[in-house]
Amino acid sequence: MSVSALETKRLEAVLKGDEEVEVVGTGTDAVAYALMLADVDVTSAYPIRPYGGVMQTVARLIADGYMKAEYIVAAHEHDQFEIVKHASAVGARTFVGSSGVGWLLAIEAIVAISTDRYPVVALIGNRALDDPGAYGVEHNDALMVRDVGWLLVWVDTAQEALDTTLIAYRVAEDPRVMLPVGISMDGAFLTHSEHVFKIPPKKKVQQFLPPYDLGNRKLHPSNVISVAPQVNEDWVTEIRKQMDEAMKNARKVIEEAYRDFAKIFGRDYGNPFVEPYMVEDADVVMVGMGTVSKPIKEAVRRLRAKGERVGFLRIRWFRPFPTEDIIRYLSGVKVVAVVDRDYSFGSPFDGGAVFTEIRSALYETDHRPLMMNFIGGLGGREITYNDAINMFNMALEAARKSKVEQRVIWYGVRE
Amino acid sequence: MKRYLGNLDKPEERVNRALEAYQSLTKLREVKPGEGLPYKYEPPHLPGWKDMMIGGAIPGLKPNQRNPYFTGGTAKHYRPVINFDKCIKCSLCWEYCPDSVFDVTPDGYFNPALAYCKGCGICAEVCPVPDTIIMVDEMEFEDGYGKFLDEYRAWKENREAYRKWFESLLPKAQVISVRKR
Ligand code: SF4
Ligand code: SF4
Repeated sequence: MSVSALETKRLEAVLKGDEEVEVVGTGTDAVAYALMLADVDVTSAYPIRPYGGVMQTVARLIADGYMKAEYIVAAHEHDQFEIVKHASAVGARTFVGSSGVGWLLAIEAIVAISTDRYPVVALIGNRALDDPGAYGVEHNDALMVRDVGWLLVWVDTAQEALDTTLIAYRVAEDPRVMLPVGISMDGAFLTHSEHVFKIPPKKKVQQFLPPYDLGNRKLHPSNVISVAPQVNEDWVTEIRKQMDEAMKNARKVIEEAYRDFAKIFGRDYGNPFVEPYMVEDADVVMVGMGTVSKPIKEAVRRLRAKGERVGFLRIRWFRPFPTEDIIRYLSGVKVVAVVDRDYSFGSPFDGGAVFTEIRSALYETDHRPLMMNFIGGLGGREITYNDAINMFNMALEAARKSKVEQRVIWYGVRE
Repeated sequence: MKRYLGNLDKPEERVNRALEAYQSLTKLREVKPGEGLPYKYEPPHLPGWKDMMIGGAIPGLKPNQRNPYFTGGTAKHYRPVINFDKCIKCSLCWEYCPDSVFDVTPDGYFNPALAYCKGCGICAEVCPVPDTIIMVDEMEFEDGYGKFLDEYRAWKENREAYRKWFESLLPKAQVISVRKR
């Protein structure tokens, strides 16, 4: 398949001109265009849905001459992540991605990428973990690496996917960070749905994104170093501490990146870490990540129109966790209801991962809200506008009674 | 034991091997608490997390360069002791040591940096001069990690004392160059 004449014209405009162009495409298309603009050097591919769309579009962009990159087809996912780790070590800007169990098959290489401190950017087309088989979205695949030094961000539109990919390279490659970024995109709901989005001109991207520079860690015959030596107990604590500092630095670097992004591209995301939606003087705030924002925002609008004080907080960056913003927006609220598109069996109160983290962040506040948790939308099951209204009604009921009858609700589970 | 083995209808080669094995085993004895070396672990210079390269990378080592961060010298059970009076400076020990332990001295001898020695005994196996490199049980020595003896220096300072010391160790040696066992 070759690009249409119209697309040819548009891509040439963004590569050579000064103006952004508007296109229609899927969430994964948007990421592919970002990779073209970011001049990614090496990408390794292995097919798995729903992330795979991005590799198809990248292949097309390379074949048609819009993008110059090594496109390495791997034998399996572990191979795929090893390839980019090594490419990153010799100074190549890299892209990789996977979904669900594919991501998990690569887990050893995934951890080595962060502990070796290579700023790889990965797309995780979120997918339920097998078994039983399911192609639909669940966030447990990405959450598997929440403790090992990957920055994790969730996007909810194609535009945000494109912009966040550019931001991800800038943050990951910052010498104060040097950690990989995993961009999570809800399988099917965003990877495969068509959106209108704007592709910025490459000139502006070059202004925003400096070249990748590994400094004295670049593997090269003129810079003889050993990476990943066996260090045992003598060094490991210190190496982990470096990662802790890098992750903490990332908060500041993310803020700077969004500020510059707004200046250069004219698109301002406001708070980089969370997207607050009508949370002012809300009694009940729902929290979620990814495309669940759509039905919840619609429910907020309609309930607000009826005079209910409800709001929504969408978490973008899960690592580093937006502790300060969670406290700012949620302490003092009567009821916080977290929608988890994941599970964390046996966790405190048997809630989801996001619920548990938010509860922990709010522990230190003077005005702790009541908390509810909806585990829902698993395996790609849709959370509709009506579901969101139902959830809000349960939370509003708890707010009126100042009491949560059931803390964790498996929403819509068949008895 | 020798008689017993001799009465078995086995080739002499195998009988001798079995005998050797038996003799080395009968030398073993139980070490009681308090009998061992007073051992204090003194770690090498360990950099802080701000001084390390990111991700635990380290400057590359040149061929034959010893790793300044990980000496690994506590691994050995036996150590080589060199009889410099007999050494013919053939360089085989220096050549064969898998851990690049030997430093060349200004006058052409080969001095083991014991902090790096793993006690494999290869140097004693390859040394072509009888009674020149011997492998001696670590239990015989008082020095240890972080303050290993410099054999060449000790020899230079007092050859007579060194010779006596070496001769006192010779009967205890597990491996003796050329003579082997
Ligand atoms: S015993 Fe082994 S490691 Fe030690 S000096 Fe001899 S050859 Fe090298
Ligand atoms: S192998 Fe023996 S004779 Fe040769 S240099 Fe080493 S100690 Fe001297």
